[in-house]
Amino acid sequence: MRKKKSIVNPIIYAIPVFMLTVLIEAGLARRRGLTVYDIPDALTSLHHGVISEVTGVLWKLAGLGTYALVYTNFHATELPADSWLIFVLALLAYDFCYYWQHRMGHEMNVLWAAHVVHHSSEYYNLATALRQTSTGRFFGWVFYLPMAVIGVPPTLFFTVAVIDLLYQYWVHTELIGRLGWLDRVLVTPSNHRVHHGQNDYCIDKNYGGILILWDRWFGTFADEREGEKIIYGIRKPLRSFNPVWGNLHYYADLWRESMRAVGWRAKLGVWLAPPGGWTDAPLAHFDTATFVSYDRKTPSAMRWYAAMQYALVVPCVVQILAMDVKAAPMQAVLYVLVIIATTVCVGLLLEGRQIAKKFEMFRLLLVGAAFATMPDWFGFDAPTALRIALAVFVLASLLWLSRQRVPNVAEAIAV
Amino acid sequence: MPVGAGDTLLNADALSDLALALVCGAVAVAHWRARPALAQASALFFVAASFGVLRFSGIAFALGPHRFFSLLAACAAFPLLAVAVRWPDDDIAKRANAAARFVLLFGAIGLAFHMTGFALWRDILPVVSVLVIAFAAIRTKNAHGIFGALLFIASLVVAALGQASAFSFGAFNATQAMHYLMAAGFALLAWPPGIKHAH
Repeated sequence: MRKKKSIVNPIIYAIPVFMLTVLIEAGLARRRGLTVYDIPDALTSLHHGVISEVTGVLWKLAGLGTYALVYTNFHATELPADSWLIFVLALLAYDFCYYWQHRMGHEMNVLWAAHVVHHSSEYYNLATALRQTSTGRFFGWVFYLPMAVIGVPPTLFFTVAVIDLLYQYWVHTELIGRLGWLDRVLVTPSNHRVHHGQNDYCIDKNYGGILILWDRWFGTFADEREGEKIIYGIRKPLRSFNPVWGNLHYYADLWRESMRAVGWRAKLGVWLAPPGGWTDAPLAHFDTATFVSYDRKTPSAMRWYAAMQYALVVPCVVQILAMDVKAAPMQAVLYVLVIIATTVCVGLLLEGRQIAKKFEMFRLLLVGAAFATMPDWFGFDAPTALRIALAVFVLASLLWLSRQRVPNVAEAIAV
Repeated sequence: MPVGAGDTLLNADALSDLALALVCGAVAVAHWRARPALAQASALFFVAASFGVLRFSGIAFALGPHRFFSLLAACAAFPLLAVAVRWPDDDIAKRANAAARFVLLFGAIGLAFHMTGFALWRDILPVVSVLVIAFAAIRTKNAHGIFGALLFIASLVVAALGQASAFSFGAFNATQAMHYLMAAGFALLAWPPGIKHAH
């Protein structure tokens, strides 16, 4: 019997490119004297990316590959996956569906609760592109089902989905200006900056993935304005470096709101309504001049500590993405939890929470001891030299951390 | 003897779905602006029935889409219809945008349930929805509405009997009877002045 060949997650190959380009962008921005990056904010973006990818593993475990199921049960025909014409049409169809998914992601509370993560950064850089939701998988798939019913095979669907996703990476930068006629056809850094803005003219604009033509056709296009600085982020700022809270904060808001609503229809309506509710009133004016960005004055040494911890998380993410999770589901779940806990501890440290230091030291002890003593690290038989190196790193981290005084929240703000 | 269904173009099964498609299409067009929830529910039935016409005419590619849109109609259009009739002043009934979101949410939930093996969901929702419609019609003493709801109930009963055995309803088989009863139900439910104001 032939063994079923598993598909390698293409994100594994993209991760080194992401890391390298983020560093290059940060270096170029620094050389030009631009404040494009803030280390805690960028690390939070990267942590969101990490959680988004590793929770995808849980999704895979749950066997909820809805697209494939709908394709198997309801497809009209089997389109050839090896035809160039079908490939191009599938990419166009995907981009069209993406436009509507993205648009509804901004205009419907329950979908905005998932997508808000991507907009919660007040900086606009390549790391922001990686600030992805972990809960978007709950409803996002619905928008692509017409492709399954038409008969776009799952392999082709996943190929065009990855292309569409990866295309959107490079547009998250302030270092590339306007690109002439391209700005009118494709999604480019210029028109995507508008999408991430809080300025009045930026709200609910430019939803496209690859083609900006959809926005032009459906009336949601806005051109970047010369001389009006774009303020990035969301109107109700997140003000946290905790990636789990970043994923859940808007759900919590909606939950509270629906609890306050009277009657089941009103409660349901909260989740279906647009952010801000069903109203024909114009959007509240946003004064760009008075905007103050979120800054916890995290000490420089703590920023670099957090960056180093992140550097150790990256190989773990690669490992879990490459794992055959169905062969060892409990291991996979545990590994996902370890990674999420790491990002939360580091996030809390960056926020200057008093409890963070205790959490982080406990995590270091646990992870360090497990890596050094367990026969294998979630299937990876680490060489002795690596075990010793990591043990030394953990001990040094513990020692350094024990000597640090983490300023509390009030102090951090007051600095 | 029931009129048999075959693979020939526009056989009796296809004709029954054509009748349903025409009625639902007409209801959707007539109420598109004034009653968007009713119109969108009808539009979903129109799409399902249109694929049904092709499917019963022996066009193979229509089978999957017919089953898909029938599932959506059961899980999303029936509840939307119930909201449109029972709570006509609700945002979902009045705003096209809200009705579309309702379809999206209920469609997603319905599909997820169906895909994960809880197929009963697609049977429960239409029954509950039709009972809500009947309740609203009785409360408002609307004759069209009451008859429409009764026809819907009859169509669901026929569908259930048709699933269980080779059921026939006079000259029609279960599929055809269900389609005609639903078409008549839609026509009565949406007949002006209808039961727009349930309260």
